[in-house]
Amino acid sequence: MDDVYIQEHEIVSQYAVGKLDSADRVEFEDHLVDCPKCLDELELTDDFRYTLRSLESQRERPIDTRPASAGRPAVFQRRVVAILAAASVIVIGVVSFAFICENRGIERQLDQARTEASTWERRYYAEHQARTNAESQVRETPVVSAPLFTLNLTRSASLGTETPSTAVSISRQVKFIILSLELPNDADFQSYRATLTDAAGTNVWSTDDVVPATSGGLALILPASVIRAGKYVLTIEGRHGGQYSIAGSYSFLATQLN
Amino acid sequence: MSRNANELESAATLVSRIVSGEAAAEAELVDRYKRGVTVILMRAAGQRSTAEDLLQDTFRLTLEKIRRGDLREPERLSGFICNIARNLATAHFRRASRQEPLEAQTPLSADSDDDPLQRLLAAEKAAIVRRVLGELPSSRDRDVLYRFYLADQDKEQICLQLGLSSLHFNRVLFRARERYKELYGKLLREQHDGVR
Repeated sequence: MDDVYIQEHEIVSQYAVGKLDSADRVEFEDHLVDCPKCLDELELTDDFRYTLRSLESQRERPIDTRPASAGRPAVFQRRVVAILAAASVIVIGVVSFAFICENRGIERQLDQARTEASTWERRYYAEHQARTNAESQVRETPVVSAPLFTLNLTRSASLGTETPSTAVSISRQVKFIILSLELPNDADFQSYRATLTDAAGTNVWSTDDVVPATSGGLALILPASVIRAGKYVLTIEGRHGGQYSIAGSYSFLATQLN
Repeated sequence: MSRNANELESAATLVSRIVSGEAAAEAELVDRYKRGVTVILMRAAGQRSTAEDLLQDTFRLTLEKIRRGDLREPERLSGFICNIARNLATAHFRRASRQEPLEAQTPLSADSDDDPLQRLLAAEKAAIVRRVLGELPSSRDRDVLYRFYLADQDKEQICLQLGLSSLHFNRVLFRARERYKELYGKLLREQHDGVR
């Protein structure tokens, strides 16, 4: 483990959060104890981490670090959990009353609690069903009903007087469209960002951090509502080492179907 | 862990001077290794007061052993000192666990929150961290920092869940730290110039 290895593998950061195994930790500490540069870096990392933690503790809601999963309606989950918790409390209360109460006044209260518990239960199942339906909708809607258009790379794409050769006809009922682009062969970019510009030069839509498919093409899903009839240029910029450069331009003429 | 020839020679020379009874060499050893041993003991002990006690014991024992000739490979002085420090920390916690429950660990930062100047510095550091987070090219990079530094997730776990390469992961940590260093250094210079 030399200085180059330490830097390349972010050993200081791993040590700062206690993620080195015992052998690596011992080896690194033997180096650290006599290395002002690593000591400075560790102090800076600790400082950054502590400040980040302080910022996080001041947030109203904690950052969600669960595994990324698309389309889960969080509001339904929270509601289901809250309803389950309330139903559990009421059910426990009902059972407790049944063991200790004898007179009619308490029995009336018991009946009322039973009624409330079954009401909560019906609400829980209704919410659960609604959540299941919403999840299916989110999974299905953007892909199944979105038309796909293939755009060709245009060497000198512009919004001038020439009519673009590619036409994109969008039905009013469609919510999303998919634009499929072929990327230049010599591209060596880690990711891409896309910007859609209309005839007036206004950016109507953009996205970034798009990773190409294994086939070497790019597929962009965008809401149909951003496109009206007219000429558009889609500009793709590739990112390499933190810098963006133009990878390609694609012009098309959008028309709307009734 | 490779070290350059000058460093090894200077460690061996330091040991040789201590063995020959040179008091200045002992002070030099403490001065050279104090910061690093403190860092190691703070992580092992979790509390500043315990770490400071163990620090004193570490250097006392180190010098006794060197004078006695127990350090047979002087070029391994760093590892020798670290082993003593770690062993003392382990022994301390064994004794402490037999006597009474361990106290809760203090937060990582050694800064006191009671000092108004420290609170001001903390607020300025928070602004710097917010800026660093805001300058990251994507929300996924911010996610990397939160998961690694706050959520205690492993690098491999984060890379798998976010679809990152190991290189990208390291780059995110490196850039965030370097940018924080740059902005914090600028803050300190501005404060220093303001004082003058």
